[in-house]
Amino acid sequence: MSLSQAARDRIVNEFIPRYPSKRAALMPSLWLAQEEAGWLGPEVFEEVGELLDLHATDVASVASFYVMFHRRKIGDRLIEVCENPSCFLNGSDQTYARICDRLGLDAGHGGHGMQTTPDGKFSVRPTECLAACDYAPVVQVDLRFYGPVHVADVDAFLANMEAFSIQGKPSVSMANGPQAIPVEGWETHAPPAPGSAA
Amino acid sequence: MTQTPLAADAPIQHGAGKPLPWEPVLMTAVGREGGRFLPDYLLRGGYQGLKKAVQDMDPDSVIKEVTDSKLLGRGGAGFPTGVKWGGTKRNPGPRHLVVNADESEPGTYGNRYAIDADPHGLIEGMLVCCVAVGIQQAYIYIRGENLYGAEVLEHAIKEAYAAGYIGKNILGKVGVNVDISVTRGAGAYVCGEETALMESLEGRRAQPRIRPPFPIEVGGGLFGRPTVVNNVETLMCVPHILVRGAAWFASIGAPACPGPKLYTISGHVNRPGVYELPMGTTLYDLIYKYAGGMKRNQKVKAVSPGALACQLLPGTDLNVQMDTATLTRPPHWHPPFGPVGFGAGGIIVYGEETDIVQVVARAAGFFARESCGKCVPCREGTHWMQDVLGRIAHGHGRPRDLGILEDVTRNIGGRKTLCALGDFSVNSVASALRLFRPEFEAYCNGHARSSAAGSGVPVAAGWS
Amino acid sequence: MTASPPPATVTLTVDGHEVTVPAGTLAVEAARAAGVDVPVFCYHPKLSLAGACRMCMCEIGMASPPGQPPRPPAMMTSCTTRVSNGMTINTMAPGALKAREGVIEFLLINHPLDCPVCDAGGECPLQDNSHAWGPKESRFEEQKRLARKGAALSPLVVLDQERCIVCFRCTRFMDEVPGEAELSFFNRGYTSQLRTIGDEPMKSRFQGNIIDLCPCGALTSETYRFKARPQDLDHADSVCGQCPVGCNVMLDTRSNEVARVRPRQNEAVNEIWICDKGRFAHHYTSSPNRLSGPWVAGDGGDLRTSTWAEAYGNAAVRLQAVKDMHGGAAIGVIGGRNLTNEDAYALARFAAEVLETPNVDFRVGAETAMANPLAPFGLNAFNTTLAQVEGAGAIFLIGSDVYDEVPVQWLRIRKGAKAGAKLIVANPRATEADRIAFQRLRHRPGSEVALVTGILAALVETPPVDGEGVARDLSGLSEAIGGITVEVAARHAGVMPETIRAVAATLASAKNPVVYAGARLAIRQDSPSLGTALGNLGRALGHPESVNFFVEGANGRGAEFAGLVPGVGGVPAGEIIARAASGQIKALYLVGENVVATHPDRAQALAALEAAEVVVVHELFATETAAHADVVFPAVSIAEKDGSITNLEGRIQRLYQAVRPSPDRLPDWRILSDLSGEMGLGLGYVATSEVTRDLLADIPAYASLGGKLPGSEGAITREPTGAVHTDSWPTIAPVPVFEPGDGLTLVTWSELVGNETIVAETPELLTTVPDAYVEINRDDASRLGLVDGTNVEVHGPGGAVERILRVNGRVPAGVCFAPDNLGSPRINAVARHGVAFTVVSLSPVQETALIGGR
Ligand SMILES: Cc1cc2nc3c(=O)[nH]c(=O)nc-3n(C[C@H](O)[C@H](O)[C@H](O)COP(=O)(O)O)c2cc1C
Ligand code: SF4
Ligand code: FES
Repeated sequence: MSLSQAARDRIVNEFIPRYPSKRAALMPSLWLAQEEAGWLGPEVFEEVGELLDLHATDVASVASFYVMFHRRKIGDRLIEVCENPSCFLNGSDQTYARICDRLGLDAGHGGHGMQTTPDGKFSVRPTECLAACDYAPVVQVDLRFYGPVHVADVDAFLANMEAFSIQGKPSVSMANGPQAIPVEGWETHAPPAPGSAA
Repeated sequence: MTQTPLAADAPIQHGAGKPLPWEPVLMTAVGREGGRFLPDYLLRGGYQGLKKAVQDMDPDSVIKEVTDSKLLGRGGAGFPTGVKWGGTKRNPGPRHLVVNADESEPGTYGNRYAIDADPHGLIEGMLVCCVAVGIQQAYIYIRGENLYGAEVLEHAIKEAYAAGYIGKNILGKVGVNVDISVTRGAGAYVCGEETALMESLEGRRAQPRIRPPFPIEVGGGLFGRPTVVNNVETLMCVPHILVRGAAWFASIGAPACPGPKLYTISGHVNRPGVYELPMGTTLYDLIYKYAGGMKRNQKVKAVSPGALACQLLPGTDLNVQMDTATLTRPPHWHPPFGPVGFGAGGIIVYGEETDIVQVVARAAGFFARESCGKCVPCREGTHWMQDVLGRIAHGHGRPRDLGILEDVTRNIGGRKTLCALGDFSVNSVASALRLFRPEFEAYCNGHARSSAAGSGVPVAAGWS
Repeated sequence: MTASPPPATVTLTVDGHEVTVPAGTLAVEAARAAGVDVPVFCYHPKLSLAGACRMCMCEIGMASPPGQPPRPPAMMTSCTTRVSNGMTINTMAPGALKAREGVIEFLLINHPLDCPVCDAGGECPLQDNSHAWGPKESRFEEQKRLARKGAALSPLVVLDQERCIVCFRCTRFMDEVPGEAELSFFNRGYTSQLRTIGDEPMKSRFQGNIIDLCPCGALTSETYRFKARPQDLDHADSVCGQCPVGCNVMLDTRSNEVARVRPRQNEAVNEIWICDKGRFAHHYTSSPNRLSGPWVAGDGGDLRTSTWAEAYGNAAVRLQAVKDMHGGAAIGVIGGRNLTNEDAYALARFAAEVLETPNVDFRVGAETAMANPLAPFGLNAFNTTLAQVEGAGAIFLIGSDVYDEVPVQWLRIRKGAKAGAKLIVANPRATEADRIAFQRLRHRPGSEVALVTGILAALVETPPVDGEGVARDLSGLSEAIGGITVEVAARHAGVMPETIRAVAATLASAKNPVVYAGARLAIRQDSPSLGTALGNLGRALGHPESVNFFVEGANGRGAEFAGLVPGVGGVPAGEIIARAASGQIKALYLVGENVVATHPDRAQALAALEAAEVVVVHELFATETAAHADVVFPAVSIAEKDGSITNLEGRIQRLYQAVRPSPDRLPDWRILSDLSGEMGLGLGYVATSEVTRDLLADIPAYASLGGKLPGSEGAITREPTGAVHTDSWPTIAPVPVFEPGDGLTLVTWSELVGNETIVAETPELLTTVPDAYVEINRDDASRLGLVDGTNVEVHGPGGAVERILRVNGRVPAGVCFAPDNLGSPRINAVARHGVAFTVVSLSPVQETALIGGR
């Protein structure tokens, strides 16, 4: 058995009653199972399926749709670097390459596959926008966000990630208060406002 | 302090006719000690809207108030919220409310800050909706990456249960029962699409459903029941509408789509961030007045007004008002693809350093990876675009590629796909081809310009 | 059933033609009604709407409300749009053509275009639609998607992932129709791949249908792969001869051999589905192992080939001798359940007129001479139509694992349950139907009469109430059940009284209940009691005609109608074998019935064959029974037959010869006719049509047909029984309660696909048959110290056999379940005929323990 008794109890007593259909407990159940083992093995699909009256194939198929559910064992920590435009414009490619380099991985392997260090400590992959673009380039480690991690910061970041944490921090723009404050002196390098005499 | 007049030429009025500077409505919790917890929320006048809805108003007049406020959905489609609520209520119960907190559109992040800062603001909005529409079960679907946000919400829900705002007989009114829970996604952009979201919430692969039946109808909503799907920001406006009145709300910003808006700006600006401003603020003001101007003083080359899902606006179009109404009407409408689009107001600003071909190739890669795979044009077409653009971006473009690309965008775009993701996927590509064709031609003729942002990672060539 | 009001209609135009169709029709169907075919891939009328392929795009305009400006038409998928009044559908609008061309191009860029080596070639919607609607040249220059080719989804179905167009027809079928979601897409988007978890083989017995559904060559049949091109095939309409449902099939032949079997649409029977046994188990028809030419036993008893004349002569002389010496009643005739009506009719006449014996039965193992347990109520054994479950309010299944017994009807039962019928399943062992059951009764084996009596007692307590709130008058029912209370009945049946009451309440409140009892219940000693109990149940519910017994064999009902049942003073099949073993019956005439494998007591069957002075057998193969015969006649298979067959609901259906038989084999009716001539009382048939003519004229059930076989839908026929009898409550004869004591009660059942001879001739299908097993409860296993997956010896009064042990929660404590069509010898080797229940004990097999087992 790969699901703990505690997990089974939680699925039966907490997740299933939360929804009008048993099947709807699937997403939280898979998260719980992944929290326990770090990934989702075939037995988990079997066991979760049994609890929710679903065929194991059905469960595995659902899990495979979502990129955050891992159907293979991954490294102890998962480092994901956003590669979407806002981060890209701020140098996320270089950040990604440097992280790979420092961990002894090949940044140029192409594609979106995940790479894991031989010692199994880290897995690295590019990821989609994490909704923290004001801290671009943003890095996600396990389920926490860090940024900005510019290429020059990578060594410091790997040594002490917490210094880069943006979890729960307000946006850069709101750092000094609740208002959207116009930037003083913005006129100096702004082009003439459209509509004003050219 | 200098003010830049809006294109409409009149200063924005809001509140008791106060002129700018703008005073935030949604972001009052930011910077306050314990702002996200219940006691502070109550100090800020929290749960007054709910109290009004439960104790002083009948449900239908709540819906009327929201309708009168002209609040349009903030999730992207811009549908009138009051109309959606009223439509749902016309269908038989049980009904459900689903909060769309999936927010995965690249360059959009207002919901994340809103939840972090003020979870009770969302919960109160949800409760008002439930009371008005007659809903007992409400679900928040939040993207899997945002575990922190889910935890903030879970905590706030616990506080609200304990204080009697959620649960049975809310605020002592017998028969007003609402339960709220949080469900986490697990990494799929398409879950933002409301029917895919409901599939995911039901424990399925997040593949959008056919419409009709629409979510507000029996058979079309969550668990087959009539369902209101609203964005986080949409619902956060609601308590304020109840407390200060529909007229107050309708007077803020752009008359056709009024209210406060959380703009998120990123890319080549000096101060990227979330800016709460009235709907209809001009792009010029957003970039130069608030976001600190352009990095390295570049000129603006182009803007994605509603993140990657929208068409590019040229950098020459800075006086455009950033709001749903403006960006979905001519001249911001380009057949056969339709409107430029405002989306959820996630603005990405590209300076003149930007290699637009690289950006567009990346956008195509994003949609190819995020296509759910249910319908043919989106599944096959996004991948084809990614392949061709990837090849071009790597310097292997061929002159006939651009013609093929254009035709492929026409075979995907223009409402041919099951959900709007297909349309989204062609917006950047088609508009970039329209606006910056010479750059693509240069690539295809062997004169690729080297990317200013560099490219340590090859443009994704597919899944391994 | 109440007639529903005629559906409202909607009038619209399709490409300028006006059509009127029922409201709610899909645009694609409305177009079809107007004679315009819109191309589709994902749309299928039997599956949920997907809107996935976008092939069916049309320009559709909605009429605007009066007084409002006209709305511009929009591009919509016609397979998901319901029609409305005044709608205009333009299937050839330039935008629609462009969209379709785009879809085809998208589908083809990653398709391998290996049509020359694809089985679907020539009958492929992808090919046809590409030809009609696709772009004329290719401009895709990227790397094509590479994926699995020739991957086995099971021993029966092969997947070519590169050809798959991701239309979700197969996955929707598996999920929606049999409800076995064992095939699904993995990953998403461009990388979506059809898979099973861990690439385990699919287990469903309905998986073959996905081959028919697949609109390209992605899913092909392992047994048909690379065998033929569609243009090389000949076709014959036939009816499946594997089970009593009577699915309509098409036999596709090549070089006078069946190349494949496909379903034919008959909405009243199988809709468009067939099960895998019906689809794949056809290779036996062209097997080199088939008998060819008759066999006659020599002086030493060894069989040798003979001429037809010698075989006829030999059989005639020996049968005549028994008849002369001991009378016709000394001859027992068993068989007919898998023959055509023509064969069954000829056999019935042969038994009655030539052999002059009342000891005739098609119901192998039967312990009661009464073939129709519902006769006292003036009912047939089956009274509803198969389609009727779709509108049922409740479906009560007792003593049947419908998945194995009436496979395609199970799909219809599921459909009914999905549409709101409350499914009640009473079975000593968990069955597939339990998964969607509304209520489950896990009663003790053999306690069915007690169980139904309990339900009747609960109805006496709380009678059903009609629409006006008036309770049904059940006075007299209490006496009929002997005053038994729910509590007493529940104790006998081993279930909770509350459960019985809940089931009774469900049935009482259901609009159109349907009751199905397994065929095995109809041949047991206590079947008259059960028939009375169920008949009373139907009456108590106000729906006397809702009660049905299944029947075994593809033509069991036809055999019953034809009169292959014990005549006056005759004994049932089980007793015929017992009497033959004890010497009272001197001759056995066995037609297509391998009694060594199918009689519930193997030792007794062997003793009977040994003791009988004459055994005559009609067979396709050299079965164990044939090996003990004195004369063996080689018969023809269903593929080689013309004629008719009657399914369990009494629907008579026509079948046509697909394969010309070799002259060394004859139809059963012909053998019987020839042999009767040899015996001096010639039936005189030389053509099937003559038998059909006589059978239609002679058999009361077919009187309604007016002497003609019906057309393609078939026709329901009923045994005339007079008026339905409703004026008193027949008393249920009490059935003694069976106390198993220490041992395990043996419960047997036939798996849909087992070690039958005809299955063995299709090796791909045979590999899906499980190794012979027995199943016991976890508690019994730990009490007996037995381990799941190990080999055990099953000891019973008749002997011992070795089986693999399955330990699970499907059987209750005290029960040992064993399929009776697996393994050699079959489980009937441990059983004894004539005792109500066989008690067995299990012990580990030592060798396995030494090797270590699992
Ligand atoms: C591909 C796609 C992604 C979307 N993503 C989001 C999203 O992340 N958040 C959101 O609120 N709406 C998103 N939407 C819009 C929703 O479908 C829906 O219109 C919205 O949640 C309705 O809420 P509103 O009326 O409050 O705007 C998306 C739509 C599409 C087609
Ligand atoms: S295998 Fe065939 S039926 Fe299944 S999705 Fe692919 S094309 Fe459709
Ligand atoms: S047939 Fe209509 S979308 Fe596939």
